[in-house]
Amino acid sequence: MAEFDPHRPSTIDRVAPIAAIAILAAVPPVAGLLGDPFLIKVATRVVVFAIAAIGLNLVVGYAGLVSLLHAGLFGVGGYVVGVAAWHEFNGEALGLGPVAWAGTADLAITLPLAGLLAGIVALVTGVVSLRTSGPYFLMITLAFDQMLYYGAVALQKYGGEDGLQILSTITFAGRDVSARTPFFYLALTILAATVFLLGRVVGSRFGVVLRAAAENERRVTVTGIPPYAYRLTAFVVSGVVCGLAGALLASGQQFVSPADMSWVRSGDLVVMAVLGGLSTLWGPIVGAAAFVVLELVLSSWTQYWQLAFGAIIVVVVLTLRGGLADLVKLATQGRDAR
Amino acid sequence: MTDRRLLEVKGLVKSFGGLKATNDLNFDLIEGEIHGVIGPNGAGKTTFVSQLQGQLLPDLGEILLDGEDVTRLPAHLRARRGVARSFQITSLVPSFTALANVMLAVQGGQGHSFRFWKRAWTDDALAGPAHVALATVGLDHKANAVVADLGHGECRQLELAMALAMKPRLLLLDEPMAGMGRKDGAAMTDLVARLKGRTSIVLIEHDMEAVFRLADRISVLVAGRVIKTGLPEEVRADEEVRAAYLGHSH
Repeated sequence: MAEFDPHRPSTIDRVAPIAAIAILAAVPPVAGLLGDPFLIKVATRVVVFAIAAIGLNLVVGYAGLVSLLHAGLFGVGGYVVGVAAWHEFNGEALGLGPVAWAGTADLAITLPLAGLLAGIVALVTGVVSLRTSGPYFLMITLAFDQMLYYGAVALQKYGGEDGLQILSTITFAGRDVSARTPFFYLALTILAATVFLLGRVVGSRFGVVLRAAAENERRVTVTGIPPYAYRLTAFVVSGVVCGLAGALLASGQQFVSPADMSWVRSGDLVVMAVLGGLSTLWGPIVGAAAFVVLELVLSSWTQYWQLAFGAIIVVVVLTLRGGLADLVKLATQGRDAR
Repeated sequence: MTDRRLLEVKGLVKSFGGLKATNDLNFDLIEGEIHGVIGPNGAGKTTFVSQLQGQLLPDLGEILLDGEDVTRLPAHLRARRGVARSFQITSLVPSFTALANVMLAVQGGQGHSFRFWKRAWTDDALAGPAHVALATVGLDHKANAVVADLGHGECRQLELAMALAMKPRLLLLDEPMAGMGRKDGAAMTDLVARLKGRTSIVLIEHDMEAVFRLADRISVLVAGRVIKTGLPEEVRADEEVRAAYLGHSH
């Protein structure tokens, strides 16, 4: 059997994320050749959910904590973009205490802001929820998600339950990125950066602590490392990443609504991570792609698509313990992979 | 031996419901010695060690480490002060390799782990001491084996390697020979013997032969209380100890 060191990613773990990003990067030209620009829309959705699922996987896969809060954090990012654009479009300044802000549709400003705000929300909710574990953690993150959801519904000024249309032209550092292709590449760049940065994080001392604490908390504690602060940091980082993804989704579809924040959406994000494979950084990219494409294909066949989708998830989880990432490994490495 | 007291325990009490698992326990450890703790099942040996390590907090009494009160100090801060423990029931990170487990322990001994950039697996500051600790316990040839593939004896050795990797001033060994065959048990006894003088050890062990061979002093724990502390030959000869524990009373 091949030497296996959990500290050290295998060759496929190094190559797969690069391959995944390269494949995605090829979508716009291929869509151009096929004359099917809709493919770019689909690929954009894959990229955005891949970012969110990777961010969530830091908590679910690496820290071993299943959170149902993350659609809420995703939505916080979306609303930052939506609200900033609303103020810019309507020419009405947003009063933040003594400061008045004219708002903007420039993602160079709203993306960092979305990450920041989602990170703050993750920090506040994480401080409380990380004192629990297991089913209690699940329930408390669900409760926080519902609070964010109803918080968004209560934003009557910004569309309330109906959601908020983004009418401004989305730009990045002054450049128009509202067209499909430039927006797709912007999102893909952020995905690549996320994969690269989180790749360093999970391989660092910090990442080792997260993984070890997920398996044996007591051992990590007697080693002189209290896991709580590390988990909280991971929770905040994953919140920032989900916030960025949410901001991108809102910008891409020029719409944000409380529906994106419901705990069912959180469940979808967990499904993407599990479907792709929790134990690798790139698994959630595969999971997000599979989720978005299956949703699209199956729902074009029948309105009861979720029935078939559920069956597929059951089969994947039962047969491939490492999710779809395992399938990729099997296909590339032959029989001795696992 | 300097005769300096590294550890002092005074009037320790810990109750679980109505049961006093630790009942007015007094104990001390001289720097550099191996202090054996023996006693019948249910005497409260593991409860005692857990309070030394900080996993359990006592109801009453105090624990002084190097003259400083650590009675209420949480486990991870005691670990920072050099208290390491090997568990009676093996406690490892199962999906990690042996080396990765020891590297984790080394990491714990090097201050906080809020380091996000440098790759842990190529960090010689972790791997170097980890290999040394593995070699000390004779497990270096299994460095890249996953814990799940290690035998019971090897897991015990790995536990000890992890404790040693923290460069402990006080090593708490909770039945290191538990569940081992004669051969592995003998190897572990030799290993603990080699540690003598390098660190101070509280040794809890059922294997009388091993304890009497290794320990500089022995304390006998009965019903949560130390009934006798002395040199091995004194303890062996003590009538009260025989009556309470060794079962050879006439």
